[in-house]
Amino acid sequence: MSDDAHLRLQAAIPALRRYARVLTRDPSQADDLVQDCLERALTRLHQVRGQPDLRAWLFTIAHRLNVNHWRRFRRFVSWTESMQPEQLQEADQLPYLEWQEVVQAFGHLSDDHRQIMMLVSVEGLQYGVVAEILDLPIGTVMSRLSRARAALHSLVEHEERPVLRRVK
Amino acid sequence: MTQPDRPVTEDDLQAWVDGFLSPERLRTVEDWLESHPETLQRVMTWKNEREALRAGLGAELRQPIPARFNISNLRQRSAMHSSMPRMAASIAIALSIGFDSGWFLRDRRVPVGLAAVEQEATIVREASKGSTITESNVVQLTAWGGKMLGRPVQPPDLSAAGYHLVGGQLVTTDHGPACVFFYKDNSGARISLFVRPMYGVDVTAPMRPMQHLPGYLWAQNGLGISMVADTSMSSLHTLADHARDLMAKAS
Repeated sequence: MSDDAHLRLQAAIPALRRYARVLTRDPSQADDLVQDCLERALTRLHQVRGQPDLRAWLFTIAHRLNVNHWRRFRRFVSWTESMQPEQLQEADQLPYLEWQEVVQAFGHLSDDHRQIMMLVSVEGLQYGVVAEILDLPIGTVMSRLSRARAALHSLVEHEERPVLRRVK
Repeated sequence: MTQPDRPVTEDDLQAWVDGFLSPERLRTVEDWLESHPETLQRVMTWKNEREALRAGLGAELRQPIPARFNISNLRQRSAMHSSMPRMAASIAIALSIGFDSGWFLRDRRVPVGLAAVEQEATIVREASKGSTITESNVVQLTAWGGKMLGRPVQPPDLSAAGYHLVGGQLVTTDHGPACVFFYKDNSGARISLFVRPMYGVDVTAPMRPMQHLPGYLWAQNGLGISMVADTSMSSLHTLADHARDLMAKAS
């Protein structure tokens, strides 16, 4: 297989790792899932010849592996424990804190809601593509998305937080 | 699918949040949203949370990739598994770690919130002298702008204060697309109004004077706005207040 396909695969790894963390809630298990997924992907690269963006294909493999195998071995690790907040370079931490509110609320969503939010809202994949990844009818994707957004918002709304608004 | 007056559905609202609507459908949905302010508020909140989530989870994409995911290593492993002969590792693949992951941008400092709007408005004012869309095309600009900014944008009618819309432009910034509208009074004095959505920071902010230009800066209802005059003028603060009131009424 061409090196070009390998480059496309390599380019999709950060997104794959992030999605795997949503699936497993545990960074080290997520990376084991990623490795499993990449090994499978390498044997099937002929399936995606000419496809520039391999994310959806990799997410499909990861989702199926998770459903069939990985989920059985999952330990409970809470999202907040497993998150490793990266030190941001920006001098201004305010946006970081505001995003963190939403990220924390996201961590409290159900697995189904987190998956759909990751694929649609964060990865920006089309609804039809997401339906294929999750092996669901598109109507279910839409209603799940709507419920996930409402759930996220109510968590953000009810979170206790200090006042972060900038005072000029 | 193409009937323009098909009723607006919950799916349309989701697609509005995700920016997946076709231009015609977007117009229909946004017309409908204008007369349904509570729903508009709801979808704008969802959109803001979508942006915040993207930004918040974006840091994960910038983490370095562990060596175990180096494709050439994995290929060797899978070659061992499948006992198929494989080509040797490519330097290009090793170099591509961090490719397309925002890695190169991680040390760059971009101001956020209103400070960013101020910087952008200043740059845009310099860059946009000359090539502008004429007044007759402003309708088209607001349609484009609405689509690019993901929400309706209408230039306020400042004619009661003696300023007439003469043109506008769609521009890109570090924080996504923005619209600029130009106004002139009868003496030819020009002001520009820079408008872009705010993402998470300074979604509303009180008006303040700009630091390096005769102008004022504020944020209302999720839009960052600056009004800049070509030369300093005493009435600018009043005019900016006027524009803010008109835009508050319109939304």
